Amino acid sequence: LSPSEKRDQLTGTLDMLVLRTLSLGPAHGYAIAQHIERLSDDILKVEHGSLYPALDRLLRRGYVTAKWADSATGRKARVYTLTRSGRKQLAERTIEHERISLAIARVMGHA
Amino acid sequence: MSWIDAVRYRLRTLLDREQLAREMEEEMRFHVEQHARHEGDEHRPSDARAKARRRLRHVPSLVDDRRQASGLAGLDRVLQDVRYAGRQLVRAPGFTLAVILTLALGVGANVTMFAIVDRVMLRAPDGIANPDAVWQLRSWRELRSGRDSSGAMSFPSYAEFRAMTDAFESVTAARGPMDVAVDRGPTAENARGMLVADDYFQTLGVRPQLGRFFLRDETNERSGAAVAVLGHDYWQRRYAGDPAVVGQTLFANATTFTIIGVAPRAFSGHTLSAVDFWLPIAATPGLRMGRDETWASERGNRWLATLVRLRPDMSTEQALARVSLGWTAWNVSPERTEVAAPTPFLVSLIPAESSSRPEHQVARLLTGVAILLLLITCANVANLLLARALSRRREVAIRLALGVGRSRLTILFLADALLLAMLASGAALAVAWIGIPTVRAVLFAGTNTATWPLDGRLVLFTVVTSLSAGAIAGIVPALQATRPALIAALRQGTREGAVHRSRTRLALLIAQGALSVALLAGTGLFVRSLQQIGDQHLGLDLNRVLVADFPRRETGFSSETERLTYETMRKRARTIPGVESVSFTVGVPLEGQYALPLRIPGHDSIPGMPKGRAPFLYAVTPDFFQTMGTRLLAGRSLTESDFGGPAVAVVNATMARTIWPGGDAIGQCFKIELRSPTPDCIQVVGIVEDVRRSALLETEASPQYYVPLGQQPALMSELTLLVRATNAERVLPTVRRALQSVRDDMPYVNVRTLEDAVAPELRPWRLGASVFALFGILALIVATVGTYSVMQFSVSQRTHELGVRIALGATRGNLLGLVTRESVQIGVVASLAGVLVVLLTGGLVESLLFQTSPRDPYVLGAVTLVLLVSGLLASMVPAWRATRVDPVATLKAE
Repeated sequence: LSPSEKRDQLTGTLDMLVLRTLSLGPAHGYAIAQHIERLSDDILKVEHGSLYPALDRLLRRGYVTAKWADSATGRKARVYTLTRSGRKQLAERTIEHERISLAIARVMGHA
Repeated sequence: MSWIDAVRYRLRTLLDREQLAREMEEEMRFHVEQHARHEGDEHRPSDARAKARRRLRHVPSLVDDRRQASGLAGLDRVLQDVRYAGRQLVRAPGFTLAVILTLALGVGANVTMFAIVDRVMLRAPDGIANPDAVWQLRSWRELRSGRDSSGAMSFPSYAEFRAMTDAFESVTAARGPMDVAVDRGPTAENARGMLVADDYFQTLGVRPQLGRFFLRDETNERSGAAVAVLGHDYWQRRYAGDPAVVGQTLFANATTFTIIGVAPRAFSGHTLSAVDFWLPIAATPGLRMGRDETWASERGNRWLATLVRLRPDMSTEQALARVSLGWTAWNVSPERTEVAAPTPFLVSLIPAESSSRPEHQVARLLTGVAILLLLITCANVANLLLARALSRRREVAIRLALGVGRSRLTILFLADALLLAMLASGAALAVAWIGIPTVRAVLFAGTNTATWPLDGRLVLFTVVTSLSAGAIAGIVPALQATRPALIAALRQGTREGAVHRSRTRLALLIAQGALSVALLAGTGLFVRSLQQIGDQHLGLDLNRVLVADFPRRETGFSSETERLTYETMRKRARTIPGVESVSFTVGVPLEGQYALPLRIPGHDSIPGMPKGRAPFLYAVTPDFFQTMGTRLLAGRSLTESDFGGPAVAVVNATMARTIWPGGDAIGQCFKIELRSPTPDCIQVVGIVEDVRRSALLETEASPQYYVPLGQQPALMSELTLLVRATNAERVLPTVRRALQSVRDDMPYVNVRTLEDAVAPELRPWRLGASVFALFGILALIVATVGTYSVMQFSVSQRTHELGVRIALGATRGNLLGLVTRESVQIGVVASLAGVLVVLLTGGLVESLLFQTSPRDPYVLGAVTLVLLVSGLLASMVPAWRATRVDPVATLKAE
């Protein structure tokens, strides 16, 4: 893989994780990061430096929308919601991901 | 819909950047706070708060990072660059002004030419509905001398086409616009009238602004009515746009016309010439061609332009095929069967497709020149930008040190150039605003003026040309200033002595100097052609003689009244200050003369002349030669006593030489064979020099002779008054006013300079000279400004070196020489290059010159001198500045 392809795949993965998180319900950026880190037992560290660009990207593609709402702490936070086309995108990504993980698992299993 | 969300978000990133940035900052702040709170759960609170505060301080840079990573930063950067460029320009107003002015001149000249070429050559006249369907019917035929093409049709031919309704939707014919005398007495004037046949306005598809257009009964050759349609401008000018003008009368061509309508604004008929009014051909005796009884039936009398509108279901080929069918017997008279039958063809109303008038040639030349000027401008602006880029090399070095990419820097420099170009396009429009009417007045006087707007297309053209010029001029310095080699040198902080001698800059200076030389040489060549023409011995004083007459037919004066009127006119003219002498003549040099059959006793035919031809004659009063400025070579002039005395004549040198080669012309006799079977002997009493007969540039002089007015009764018609004045042009209005008021019922008195007769002939050279002069001077200004600013920059960059020189004892003279030498060197090389360009391209204008070689050494020498002097002048101020360098200050600055 060339460096740029590799980066695409990685950011693609982050996008997928974000979409998956939002499929559980609207959340603000920090909550999304927290969720991903918790579920992955802190193996996946989501840096703000890549999270917010990912969110901007998803906004521009229309997979999520954002609006300001009260957070649990009472402070205004920007809350992201999955759109219908985001949900569709997540479904496609999930299938693709499963196909690839399976393939990798097979290869690794033989090694 | 989610795609709407997507579009909305993208729009926000473009339009609502500030708000979005604030939101991002807020979001990042929230994130950091949350993070701190969370960490605080696990660690000591104070520690967490400190950590959070530390990170908070970095929020703006976090936002920056985010925009960068999200790909939102691109536009940000561009905006930043533009803002930055703007600030830089404001900081250097002199430079900014120089660039804008140069660009404005170059682009403005091109916009002007674009507008004019577009309007005058590339488009059909305005106001015509669906002009693609309107064509002019012309014909060509094969003659022994070559192919003869003509647009003139006889009235019967037009009537035949009119009947071909299976080929054309409608057919019309017109003549003009031509001069038509309007009113009588002191208010009389000449206006431009067009004569039209049936369906003129219908064929062109125009609707009246006011009233109505002609009915067929009014235009038809059998009925015809004295009704008129006014042009929009004439209505505004003469009737102050009075809406009640319909029904009023217009006294023109000795007839009272009833005004029935007004044509729409911008409409000038099928030509681009302005039209004051349209009249039915049937109501214009004297203006139409042919005698009143036969004008509509003479086949040999060809004088009408025929216009057709094709039927929508007809192609031009189909229509022509039908015309040819009905045309077999057309205009081929049985006794002239050797003349081939004409073949019809159609030409569009778009001038560029049908005309080769000299104005159009000049317009093409002018376009080439304008593009040349634009190139000079680009070279100059590139140079100015380059100089500026180099003066910013410290800044460039710093930016590079901070890791700004080369491409980013290039864009930065380009942004500079494009911003300047945008500003310049505004100024260029101002130049065009002045330039278009000026060039139009010089090149296309009398052209319909309502159709010359600075429209959207023109503005677009301006902006595009300007930006292209800016981009071309900006790319060189942008690449140069960011060149890796240069950058490396800058990083080391070396004092860049070599930079100010950049080869590119030198080449650009030389290029623009050379192009200016080429343009100035063009001016010189045309001026020299004019000079050569002026040096021609014409046998008369072109610019001292006025020619005056009035239309005889219109007056209804008896011949006695007419003679008395002319006599009064002569007396009036004589008393006007500045008038030296006045004379009558039948026949005017350069305008028109008569020839009568002659017999020379002892000869069967006239020696030296083809059979059937005879010398031209003038019937004149005694002061004729004095008035014209024609010199007597031998014998005597005509005197008062010759009037009523025995028949005498003065002949010109050519007539004397060809008929009486022995040199003994005086005392010889010749006879005018007219009516009388035994004509009197006319005795030659004097010989005058040859006078140009019909054109300024005649290849050979023709035999001519002069008889006293009244001695030959057949020659009492067509009297013309000649007025000699020190400055004919200046007294012209006074003379016209004086003559006009001789009688209350006087029709328009036509007064023109003798020079007017040859003006069309001189036009190409005059135009060439003025056009090249204009552009040459512009180019010289641009080149001089360019040299000046580069020298100025060079001096400012060499302050240190100059300081050292002064400290080491260089005199003012040394320093002046140092700076001017460079400028002179550039001038010499540029001149040589320019001369080379002229030598290589001179052939292009050779056909437009008169007895002047495109390699004329005087012109080339003079132009070289002009460039050298301008180069010297351009380096004066910088040189003076060089001598004012304070060595102490510069050395301390280190």
